[in-house]
Amino acid sequence: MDRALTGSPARTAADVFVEELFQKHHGEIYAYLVRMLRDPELAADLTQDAFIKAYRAHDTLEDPAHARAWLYQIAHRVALDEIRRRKIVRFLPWTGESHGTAPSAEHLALEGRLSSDLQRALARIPERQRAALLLAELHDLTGLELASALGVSHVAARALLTRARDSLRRELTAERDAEAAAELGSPADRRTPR
Amino acid sequence: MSDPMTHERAGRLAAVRLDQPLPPIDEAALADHLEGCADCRALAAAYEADRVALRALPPIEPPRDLWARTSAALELEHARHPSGPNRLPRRWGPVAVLSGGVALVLVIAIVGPGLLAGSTVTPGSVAVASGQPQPQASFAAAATPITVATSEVTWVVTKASGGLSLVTADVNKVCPTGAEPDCPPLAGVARSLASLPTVPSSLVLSPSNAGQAVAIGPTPNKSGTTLFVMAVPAAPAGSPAASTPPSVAPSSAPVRSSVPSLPPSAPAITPRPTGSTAPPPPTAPTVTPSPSAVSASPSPVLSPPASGTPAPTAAATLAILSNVTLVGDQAAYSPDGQWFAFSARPAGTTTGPDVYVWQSGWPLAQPITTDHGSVFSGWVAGQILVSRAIRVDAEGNPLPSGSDVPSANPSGGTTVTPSPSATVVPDPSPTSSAPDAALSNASGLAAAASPSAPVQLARPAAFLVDPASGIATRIAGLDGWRPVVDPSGTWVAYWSGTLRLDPASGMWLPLKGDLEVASWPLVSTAPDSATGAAAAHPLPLDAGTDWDLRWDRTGEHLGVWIADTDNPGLGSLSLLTIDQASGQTSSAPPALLLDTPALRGFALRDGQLVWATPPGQDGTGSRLSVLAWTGANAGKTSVQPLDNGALIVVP
Repeated sequence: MDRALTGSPARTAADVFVEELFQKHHGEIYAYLVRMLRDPELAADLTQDAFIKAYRAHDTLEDPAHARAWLYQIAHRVALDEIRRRKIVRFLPWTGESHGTAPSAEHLALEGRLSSDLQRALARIPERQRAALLLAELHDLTGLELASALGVSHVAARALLTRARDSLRRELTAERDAEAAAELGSPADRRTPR
Repeated sequence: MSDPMTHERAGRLAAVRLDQPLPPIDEAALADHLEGCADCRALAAAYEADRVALRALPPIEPPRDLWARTSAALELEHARHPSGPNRLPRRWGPVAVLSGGVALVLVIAIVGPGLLAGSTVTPGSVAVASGQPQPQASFAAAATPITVATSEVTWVVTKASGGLSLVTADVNKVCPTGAEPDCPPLAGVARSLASLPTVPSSLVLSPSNAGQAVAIGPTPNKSGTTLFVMAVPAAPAGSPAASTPPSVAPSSAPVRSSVPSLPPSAPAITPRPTGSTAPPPPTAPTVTPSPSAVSASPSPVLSPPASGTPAPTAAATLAILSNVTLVGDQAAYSPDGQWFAFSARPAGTTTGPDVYVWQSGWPLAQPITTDHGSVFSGWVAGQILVSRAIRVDAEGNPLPSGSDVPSANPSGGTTVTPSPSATVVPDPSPTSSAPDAALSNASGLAAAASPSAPVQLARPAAFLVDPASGIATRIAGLDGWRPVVDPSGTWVAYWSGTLRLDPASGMWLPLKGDLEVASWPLVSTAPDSATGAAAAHPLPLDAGTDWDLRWDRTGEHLGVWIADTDNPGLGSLSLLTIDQASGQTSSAPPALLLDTPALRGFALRDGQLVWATPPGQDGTGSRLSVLAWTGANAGKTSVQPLDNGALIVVP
């Protein structure tokens, strides 16, 4: 039920705050999480989680002018937590079971948008570097906003961004070398993330 | 003056300038370089093209039902907290009082086992986090708490003026991961410590003497670091620390036998002519710490007596070494508390590190190695585990002995030369450069560290050194750098690979290799490194160039902190579970932490990992975080973040 539309009398300042935040920023937060995780369904779940966390922590935002960077900071932590969980799961032995659900048409369409060599290269660079690059280039965060979102100093954020550009360059080169090798019929060097 | 424009630097600047204007001198130098370097021009163009391609990525639209889903989740959240999220005020009183309006710093205290047993917080004691007495955190409006075995967390709040407060708190309930915002902040009991003339970056409590600690911080008005021994006042009656018996916290897990006996060692060269508890030899420096170095305003300065039995009084500090750069994060008391050991090198020089020891009654710490290539790794059954670089050629063959690093003799032993004359004395005058002069008898490494010299390579070697006699015994089966043995003597974690000499610092740095875990009984008795290496398992983490490894008491969990390459005070912390049968990383709970941003310096003990988060995590300032677990039950709690504080890390 949409509480904003029903005008629930119990709405609090936190409710109003998070609803406005959602209206303004949910699209970009979702896009950021999709690009970080390459899983649209999961990104939707985590977008929801990010706004729940924002709701819980709304009183920690000291300056409403910084709400966007603050929200990205929360979304970034949500993304890193998920990536961390995936790494733990990767330690578990493969049992041969699958989720058994076919991908939706929407999922397939999005997957197509994430399957360019650039997207694959992005997926291979370390996640914090990936986050820095996405936030700076696609989400237009300023230097200070970037540092805040990443939870590092301004200097460290810039250094992270520089390393990210270097990593992306190397991965793109490797990606294109592998494609060239595949076209020539030799085994492609398809590396997997560590 | 700008660095020389190499191809590597040109490439980096080409990337940097996409995000910020370069200084004019760098911009001009880059332009000059690009004009004559086709490869660098291509790289710069590729960076530009990558940016364009990134910005041209197709937009991603959110699913149409996203608001409906989020709204429903908010509805549930709202039902749990009808009056809005139940949070404590962001600003917390007592710490603000403690701060006195100056920047606060928080230091994780590496606590000796004598202070770790569980107890309860006394009602009425100072509650640092909330400003009100909080005998136990309330979970009334929070997520379902997880009960864990009671354990104690200790930290230090410092003021820029040098004032210190030691804070202790019990942890016996935590919140599920992800529900931390609902978790009441951890409250602690504070007690004041003597003022220091500097803001310390770490504090190590004696495991046997609850009244003593070593604080490490920048040398006042000088370069480098000073180590201060300081008195710790008794905890307030009824506080966690006051009710703590001087014993190791109980554990359900049996502690295995300690260190297996080693093969007979090679003859020691120049054993220290003193007993294990005696003061330093007569030739040891008698320079007393200068008043400026140990000023403890408003406390009186401690001047150690000439008879050689100095000890810090309740309100005093004793500088045991000054103007050095601490190497590694493992400065530690021996398990019996009789010795304190660490490795350091003279600040501002290219002289490599040596291992130092100190014990009560000594005015100064003494070096037990003089090769300027030894790094303290930890304690093993009363002996010091030392890492040392053995120089090799490009093919990995050891260079002839007699070079700048001691090499193993045919019987497997090697030498260290305890040399009182090599002691780094506390700087007696404001203009003295004592470390340089004191270590002027250093062989080799500093001279070999010329920037123009070819890359020098080495393989790590491990030694056990007796702190009293200086007798060193090489562990032939362990070619590991900075090995750390778990307190039960079951496992050893270390870095294995090739080292390179950093000409700028005189330090040996990792070049190529892995972090590994191996059976300590196996590698410590293996006849050679190949046999030892066969027992090793790599860890699933990249070591980078610097790291900190810490075990829990049973050897079941290993905390791994890896420094960020560009910002070595910041890093990522992981908690690994080691399969006790195989030594491999296990997927069994509670492997709950991987690559979490953390400042340098963390504590790991039975069922508890404590670290400091960098500012800005989850929309908050820096905070002390605790991951606690009992069996498969695990969760987190934390201290309220410092609004204006900085989290100081171990150097």
